[in-house]
Amino acid sequence: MTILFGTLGFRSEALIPAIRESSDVEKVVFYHDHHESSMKAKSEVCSYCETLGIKAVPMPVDDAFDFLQVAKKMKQDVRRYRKEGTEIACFNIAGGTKLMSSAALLVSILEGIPATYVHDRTLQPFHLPLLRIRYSETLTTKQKEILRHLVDHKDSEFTERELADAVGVKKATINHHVSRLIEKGVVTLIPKKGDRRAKVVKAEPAVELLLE
Amino acid sequence: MSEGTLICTFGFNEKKVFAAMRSIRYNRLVLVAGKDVLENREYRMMVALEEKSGGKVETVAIDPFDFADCYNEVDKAIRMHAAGGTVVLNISGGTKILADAAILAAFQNGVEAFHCDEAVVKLPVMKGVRFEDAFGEDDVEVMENLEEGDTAKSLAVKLSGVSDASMRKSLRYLEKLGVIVPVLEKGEARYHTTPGHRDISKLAKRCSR
Repeated sequence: MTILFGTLGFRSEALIPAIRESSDVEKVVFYHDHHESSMKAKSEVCSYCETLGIKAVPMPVDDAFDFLQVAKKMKQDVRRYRKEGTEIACFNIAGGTKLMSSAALLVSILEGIPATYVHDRTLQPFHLPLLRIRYSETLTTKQKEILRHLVDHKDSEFTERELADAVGVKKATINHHVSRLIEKGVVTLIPKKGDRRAKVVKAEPAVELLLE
Repeated sequence: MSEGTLICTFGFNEKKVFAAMRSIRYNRLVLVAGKDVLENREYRMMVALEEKSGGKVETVAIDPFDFADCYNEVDKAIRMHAAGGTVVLNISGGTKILADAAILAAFQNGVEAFHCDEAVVKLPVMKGVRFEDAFGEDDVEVMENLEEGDTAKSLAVKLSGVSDASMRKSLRYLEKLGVIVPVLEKGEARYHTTPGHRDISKLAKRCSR
């Protein structure tokens, strides 16, 4: 099965041209908020899909201005559909709030999904020059393991030694990986609470989006 | 956050730029804004404020509803300033198209990017990880020479220093990346660029070492 992802705001015209262009799509998954105008646009998209025999799956978002939460939800859905063996044809990012659109682009880049943007005036889908690469593949397995540990225990503090013990490697090894992760800007060293001489390793909040 | 150039997308709300100015250390401010914004009161106030504090503002004028223009200009600004130090991007201002174009440019160039508003969110861009690093020399050679509708045979005669096996490997790789797609025509695979990569020579030029 091939599906199209999309974001939707007040105007169904921001999504419908992308559906029309994707001739082989069998399902459209789209994100919208609860605003009255968004609900009206949602009905129009559902009705359009029904006419063409395409399954429409509206996905409400609780807070269209919470960038990270929206991005996490989109990423989870993309991963879930992929696990089911579904091919994602494209993510149309033209509709919805600016944060919804940015979150959709972020997920498209990280997951290597082609993305389009339906032009506001011409209503022509513009294909973004993305590459189908899983961005997280630029991290090594061990780096991902370290990040996963930090994300799963984000309320705890880990010095490099404690982190080495937690992931089962030597201090020198963790030091090497943490240095690379700092260079990539995905973790930082900050003073430990109550002991400013010691440093703890912290993952940036959005790093979760890079992990499986 | 290191000192360097702060590039901010800007619409009509100066508060988003102020949020970035407070959160990110920088010594040069670049505003990317629509041409009509340059005359507005908020823009002039921000420039005056920055100059009063001894800083300088550079402005990049774009069409905020043209994705390609926004992307090209932000990309150009990043590359120009990255040559002289670190670059950090704030994407919270301006139109949706401008913000999206800035995100793409940040990822492609591997520069830090933030969404600064009431909360400051750092995007998961990996510093120094550039999209163009995904391509090897053979891939660039193939992209430089590939024309719409080429077969492997017609492409091979245009390449120098790339073996047949390497060329086929590159074609498969470019297909995997979504840059090209083979279409069977009269029993032969002819290669075409995908809609997002119609200007393949531009991509090749960018990746050329």
